[in-house]
Amino acid sequence: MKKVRRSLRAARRITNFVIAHYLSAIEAHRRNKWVAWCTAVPPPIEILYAMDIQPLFPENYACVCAVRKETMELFRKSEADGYLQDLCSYARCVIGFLLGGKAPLGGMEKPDFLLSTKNVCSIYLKWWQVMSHYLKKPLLILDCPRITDKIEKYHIEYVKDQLVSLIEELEKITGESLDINRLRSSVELSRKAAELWHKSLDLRKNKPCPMGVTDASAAMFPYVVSAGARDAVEYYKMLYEEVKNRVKEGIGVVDEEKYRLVLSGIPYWHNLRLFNYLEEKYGAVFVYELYTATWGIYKPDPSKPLESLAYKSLFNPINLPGEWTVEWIVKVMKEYDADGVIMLSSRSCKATSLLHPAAQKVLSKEYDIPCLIIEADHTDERAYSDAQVKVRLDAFMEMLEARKEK
Amino acid sequence: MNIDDLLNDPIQYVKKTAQSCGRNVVAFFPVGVPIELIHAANLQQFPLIIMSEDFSAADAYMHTFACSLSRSVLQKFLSGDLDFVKAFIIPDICDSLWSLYNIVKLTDPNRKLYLFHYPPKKDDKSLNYFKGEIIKLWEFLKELSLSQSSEEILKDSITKFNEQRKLLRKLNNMRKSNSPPFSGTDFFKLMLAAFFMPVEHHIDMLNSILGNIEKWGTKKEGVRLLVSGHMVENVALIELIEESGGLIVADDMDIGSRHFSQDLAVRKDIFAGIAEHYLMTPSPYRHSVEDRAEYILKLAKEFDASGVIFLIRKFCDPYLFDYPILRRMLEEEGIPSLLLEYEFPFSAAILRNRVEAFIEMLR
Ligand code: SF4
Ligand code: SF4
Repeated sequence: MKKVRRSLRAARRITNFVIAHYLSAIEAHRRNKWVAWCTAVPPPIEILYAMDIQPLFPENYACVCAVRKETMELFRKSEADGYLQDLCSYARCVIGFLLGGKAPLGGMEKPDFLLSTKNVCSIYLKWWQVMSHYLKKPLLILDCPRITDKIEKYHIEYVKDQLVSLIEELEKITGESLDINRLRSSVELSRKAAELWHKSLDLRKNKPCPMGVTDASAAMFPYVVSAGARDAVEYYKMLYEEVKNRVKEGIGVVDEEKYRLVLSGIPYWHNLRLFNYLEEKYGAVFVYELYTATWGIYKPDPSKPLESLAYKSLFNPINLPGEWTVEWIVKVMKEYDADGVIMLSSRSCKATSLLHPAAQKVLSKEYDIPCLIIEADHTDERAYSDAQVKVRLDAFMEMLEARKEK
Repeated sequence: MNIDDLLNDPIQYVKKTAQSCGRNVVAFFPVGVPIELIHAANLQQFPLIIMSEDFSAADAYMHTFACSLSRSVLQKFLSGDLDFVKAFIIPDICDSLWSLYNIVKLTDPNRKLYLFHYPPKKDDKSLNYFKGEIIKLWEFLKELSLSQSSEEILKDSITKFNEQRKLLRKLNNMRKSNSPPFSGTDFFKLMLAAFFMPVEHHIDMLNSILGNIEKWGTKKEGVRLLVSGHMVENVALIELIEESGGLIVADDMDIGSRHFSQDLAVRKDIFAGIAEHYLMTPSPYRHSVEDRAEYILKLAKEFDASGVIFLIRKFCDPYLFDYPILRRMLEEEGIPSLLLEYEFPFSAAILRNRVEAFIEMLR
């Protein structure tokens, strides 16, 4: 049994951040401001913050429900209405809430409108249409075409053009016009937060690794919900200092770090203890997650706010070609001196999972990178078997051990 | 070759036809990909309506919770059955297909693939972008072609497909009668053939059927139904419904009324016309559930359907997401519906039980 460090102070503060975030929507309504339900992968929320519109994120909310193990009633509600268990469990969770299921933190404050991108999964659009239907509130859509080669000028122009229309719509809704200087400052705040967040992640190249996957998965929250607001920057300043200190003092996630791993896929929120299992039993630490690194991967430029927000919306790993993801993994394996990749597939999230088997083949054949694929569900614990998962993890770790001895 | 032979071995059919016409083959998922462009580029179209019962090769590269249509295509691709295909057009309509695109590219980087994007909105900016997509696809197809093409030829192709649409509508309208001269099974076979056969042949076939309608097809009695979904890739599913006491009189499907309900208007800007046509047909990949409900309700009324069956493949997210709201919106208009989630090979006994119970309720 390896000794595992207590989590980062910054990570423990996330609970307060989460609560404050959900309260901020209630507060916004009290001040006669607007609330929007947004997809979590880069819609340009910097624009919303510049216009005093408070974004809320149903995906994050579903994840909060899963961490607190308060999803079952919500699933039952949506399933009773015909939303089958194969559908995205995040979506089923929030739809369950809209259909009257009891939800934690008093539920989400209802929005004045909804905003969906189309840059991760095809579910976004469908799910947001469904919510817009139940809430009887308008749905705004930002279409981001899939990138099959590289991001071209015409892609950026297309998204930028839509941003212009989006701003017009928002001005109609709020009756106030966007102040371009405010937008610039909000893009600057977003850039700063992204930079600090990624600087903190970069510190995990150090040995021992100063921040584990559980902390990183918590600490990404401020960037997701507050890109463009001041609180995210404050938060990441604090996080960066703390992680830097750990590096200075040589403090790692575990006392004897033996294996360094890369994670692909969404954490199984209902069972974050799985990570502890690897840390405690094997001294195996995740040093990089494609998931947490996705947020802030591109740093927007305040001198050309619309263009760079357009780019940010397009530049999202799942929107990029499969080869890009494979190369990304190969690159971080090297940079972080990692031993293997664990891919958490989710049966109800095709977008983050379907590439796993093919990527595993290419990584092991062409790059000799060991990968393990686990199959469960990111929010729905009924699709998870702890014993089976551990058997597979054990076998994988034994294999890594044998490789080390060679 | 008659339709049954074609449907028994579509790959063989496509190969033979391409050979006899001296054309390269382009495969595509028949969900709103402008078939006129393929025709005008003098290419042999191959709609990827194929089913595999063996997934051994595909399972090593794709999770089993992708839909079985995409897994079937991957299986055939990996086992070399599709080596004769020059290029694949994959519409970006769902995560199964986006992943299929990526997986094929990872396993065979030299394969010619085209990802076709649909904007999810109907405003001018979307139309304009979509027009650009169509022009790009046109250029891509022209490069694959063994012969020269032009916008004039494209206009001719559109005219031909409009002729086909007109004939299909004529036939389809006969289903409004109290006792239609043919069954839903007959009609679906004809619809599948519409996507496989060279349009000229299909038009000839339609003309001869219409000229002798009493001799074609089988008259069936049954409770009048509308089916809604993506496509019926296996007529056995339709047969099963009709054997259980239903009579399918209308559909809301890509291989069905969405193909022929409207002519494609030839505009001065020909590509703008194509974009408008394909962007406006209600379908779950880009339209709201309200738009779809309106389309289904209109059809149900016109064709006097007593109930609706949603035929949805397991793991097909876009359709499964729309279903609960559609069900409720239909209910509010007094139209009961049934969700028939299926998978190939399907268990006929289970499906039959469910359909029979539904039809009993409608009687
Ligand atoms: S399908 Fe996956 S990527 Fe899409 S919303 Fe659900 S969890 Fe997120
Ligand atoms: S059946 Fe559904 S999931 Fe499969 S390719 Fe068609 S739309 Fe996509």
